[in-house]
Amino acid sequence: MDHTIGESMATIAEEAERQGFQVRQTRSAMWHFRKGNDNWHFSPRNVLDVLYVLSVLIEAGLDWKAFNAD
Amino acid sequence: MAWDAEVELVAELDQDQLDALAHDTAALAVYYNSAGRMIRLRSSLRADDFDAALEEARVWASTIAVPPIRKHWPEALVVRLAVEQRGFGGSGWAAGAKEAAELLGVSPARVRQIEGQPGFPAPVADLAGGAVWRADEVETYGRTRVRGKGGRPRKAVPEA
Repeated sequence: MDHTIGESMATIAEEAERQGFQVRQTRSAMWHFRKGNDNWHFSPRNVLDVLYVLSVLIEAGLDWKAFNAD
Repeated sequence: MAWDAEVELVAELDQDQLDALAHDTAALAVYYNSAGRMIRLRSSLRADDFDAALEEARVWASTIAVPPIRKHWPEALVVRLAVEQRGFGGSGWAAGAKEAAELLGVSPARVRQIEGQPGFPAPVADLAGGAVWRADEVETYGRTRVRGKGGRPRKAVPEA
């Protein structure tokens, strides 16, 4: 997995976990997010894929403002 | 051109089967709602136009996405197949430096110069790969920003 994508996904995963999502990295390039009955498996390969992941999680309730909190 | 295909089915899979499905189909995303037994797979495609993208999506769904699900759940019911051009769908609201540059008609390096200036929208997120902005806010900034005259500053001419 591209280093930048891996880092971006790690940032998203960390914040999602802090906000109540269950997160696990199932394989080196695959992430599983869970909230209630909703499950997502993501395998992003580029920056646009990471943006898609972020948009899905935001729709599922992730507070994006926390990414910019000091 | 970049497209996304998404297929939705009704089927029941356990966690191990979902993990395997995500790996075997190399899908960008696999969504599963255990209450409604709804599965959604999304994958990226490349096609020159909508007709070609639609055919690619159909082939992807029938040969890659659906068969592994039917292996575990033969009664799986396909309820939807969708195809959308990248940038107009799920991540269409978001712009990285490259997309912001295209929206503003400048280079990505110029975006990084002006992003901290007054009036430029605040990023939605600051990830390792760079900042992410709302595309509509960048567009609004592009339409309403006051552009300087640019060029070399004129030499002051003393009054006679």
